Amino acid sequence: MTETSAKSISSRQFDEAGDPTTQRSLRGGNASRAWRRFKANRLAVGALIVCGLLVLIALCAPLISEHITGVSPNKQSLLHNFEPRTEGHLFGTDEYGRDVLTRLIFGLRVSLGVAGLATLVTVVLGTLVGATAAFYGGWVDQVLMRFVDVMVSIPGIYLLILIGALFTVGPGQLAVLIALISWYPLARLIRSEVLSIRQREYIDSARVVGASGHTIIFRHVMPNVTHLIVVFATGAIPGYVLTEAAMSFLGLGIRPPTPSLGSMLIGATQYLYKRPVLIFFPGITITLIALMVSIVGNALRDALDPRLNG
Amino acid sequence: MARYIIRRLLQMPLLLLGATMVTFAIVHLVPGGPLDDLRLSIPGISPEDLARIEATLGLDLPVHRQYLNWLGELVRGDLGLSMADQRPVRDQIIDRLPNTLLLTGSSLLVALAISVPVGILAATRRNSLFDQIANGASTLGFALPTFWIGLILILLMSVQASTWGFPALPSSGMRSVIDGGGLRDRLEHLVMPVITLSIVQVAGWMRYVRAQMLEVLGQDFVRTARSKGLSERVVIYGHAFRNSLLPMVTLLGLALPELFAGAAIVETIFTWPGIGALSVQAAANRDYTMILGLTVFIAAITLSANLLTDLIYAVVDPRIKYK
Repeated sequence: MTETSAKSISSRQFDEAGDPTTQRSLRGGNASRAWRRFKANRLAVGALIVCGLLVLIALCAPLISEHITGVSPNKQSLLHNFEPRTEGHLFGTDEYGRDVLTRLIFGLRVSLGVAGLATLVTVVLGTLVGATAAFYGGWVDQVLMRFVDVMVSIPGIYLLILIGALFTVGPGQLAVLIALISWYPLARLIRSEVLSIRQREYIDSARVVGASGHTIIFRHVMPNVTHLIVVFATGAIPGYVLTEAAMSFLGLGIRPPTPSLGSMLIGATQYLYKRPVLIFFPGITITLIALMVSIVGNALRDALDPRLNG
Repeated sequence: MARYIIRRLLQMPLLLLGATMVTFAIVHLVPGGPLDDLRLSIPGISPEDLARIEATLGLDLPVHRQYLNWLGELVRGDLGLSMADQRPVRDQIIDRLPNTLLLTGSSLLVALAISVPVGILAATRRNSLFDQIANGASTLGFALPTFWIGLILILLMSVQASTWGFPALPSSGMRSVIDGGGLRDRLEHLVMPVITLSIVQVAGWMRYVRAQMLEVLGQDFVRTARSKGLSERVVIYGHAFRNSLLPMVTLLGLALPELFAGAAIVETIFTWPGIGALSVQAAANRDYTMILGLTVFIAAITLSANLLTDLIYAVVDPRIKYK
C-alpha cells in the first residue's frame, strides 16, 4: 500500500518534470488537496482559529493597552497591588499594582514573537545546512554532519543555561539562541530526504532535458521537502514557547520588567501563598498556545503526508 | 557487527572531544568573563591586581593554550575548582548525581508504569472513547509547562491541602531538617517532583507504545497467532507486546537526556539537591568552571547512553544488519 502510493507520487512528478506550467498547477492541486483534508478535521480548524486570534491579540497589544485596558504594561501602582478583579482591571493587579491583563497581552506578544523568530531561524539554518550537506557530499557533508552529531549530544537546555549564565539576553537574542540549539534534527531530516530525492527518476529526467543545477535544486528538489519543513516547524513551535517560558522562569531568559509569559511567573511564584491566582493567567496562556499549535501541527502532518499516518 | 561496535566505540571519544570544543568555544566567544565580573563587583580594583588574577587563572594565555590546559585536566578527571566556593567541581557533581538519578529514575518508572498499560489498551481499542481520551491527554501533557505543573502541585498539595484537612506534602528539599531521613519522609519529598517530571514522559511513552503496538498488531504473525485460535490475551501480551518491546530500548536511551533536561527545571522548583539545580544555581552565580564541567559531564552521559542503547539494540535484534 505504502509502496504503491509512493510509486504513484514519483511517477506523477516524473510527468511534471519537463513542463513547469503543469507542475505549478499540480502543486497547487496538492496544496488544495491537503487543505481539504485539513478542513475535514473540525478540531484542527477550531485550533487554527484560536491560534489566529492569539496572534492577532499579540500584534495589536499596543492598541489594546491604549484603547481597551487603558494602562501600559509596566505602569506600577503600589497602593493598588494584588487587587482582585475590579472595574479597570479585568484580571486584577500583580505585586506592583500592574494590570495583569495588559501584561498578559504583552507577554503573549513577546513569547509568540520569540517562538516565531526561533522557528524562522531554525528552518533557515536546518534547511540550508541539511541541503548543503546532501548536495556537496564529501568532506562538506562530513564536517557539517559530525558537527550536528556533537550538538545533538549536548542537551539543549544546558547549553541555554550556559549561555544565559554568561550574558543577559533580550527577546531577539533568546529566539536566536533557541534556534541555535534546535536546528540539528531538521538538518538531518532535510539531508536524508534530499539524498533520497536526488536518486529519483524525475531528477534524472530533469537533468537529461538540460535543467541547470540551480533549477533542479529550487524547482524539483526543494518543493518536495517543503512539507517536511512545515511539519517540523509546527511541531517545534510549542516546544519553543515552553522553552522561552522555562528559561525566563529560571531567570535566564527575558528578565523583568519586560513581560513574557515565563517572566510573569517569577513574580507570581514569589507570592504563591499570598495570591495564588496570579500563576494561573500566564500558565493557562502558555498551555493554550502550545496545545492549539500542537493540534494544528498534528492535523497538518496528517493532511500533508497521509503516508505518515500512524 | 563487531566492526559496527568497534566503530561506535571509536566515534564516542571524538564526539566527546567535539562537545568539549563547543562548550569551551561558547564560554570564550560570549562577551564578558570572570575578570569583567571582578571589575564590576570590586570597583576600585587595580590593574595590577587584575593582571595578577588573570595570570593565576591562566586567562592571559592564548585561547588554544587555555583549551588544551583545560582539556588536559579534564582527561585526568579534574574539572577545576568552583568559582563560587572553591570546592572541586568534580566532587560536587559526584555528591549530587545520586539525587538526580533517584529523581529521574523514579520518574521514568512511574511514567512507564502508567504509559505502557494505557498505550496497549489504547492501541487494542483503536478509535474507542478510551483511545481518544488517552490521545487527548497525551497532547495536553506535551503542552503543559513543567514548571507550571510544579507550582500548581505546590499550591494544591502543600498550601491548600492543610486547609482542606489533608496532610500537606513538603515542597522543597529531599528530607526534613528535623527528624528527617526516614523512608516515609524521603517518599513524601519525592512525590511532587516525580509527578512533575513524569507528566511529559507519560505523554511521550504512551504515544510511542500505542503507535508501536498498532504497527505490530497489523503484522502477519499476529494474524497467524489469531488464526491458530489463541486467546486475544495471549496474542496481545505474549506475541504483539513482546515484539513491540524491542524498539522501546532505543527510546530509553533517548529519554535520558530529556529527563536530565527536565531535572534542571524540576530540581530548581523543588530545591532538589541534584545536578540540574546545581547548573541553574551555577548560572545565576556565573560560576564558569562549574557550568563548563557540568555541561561536559552531561554531554558525556548523553553520549554514553546513546552508545549503550545502540550496542544493546545491535545485540538484541539479530534482524538488523550492520555495515
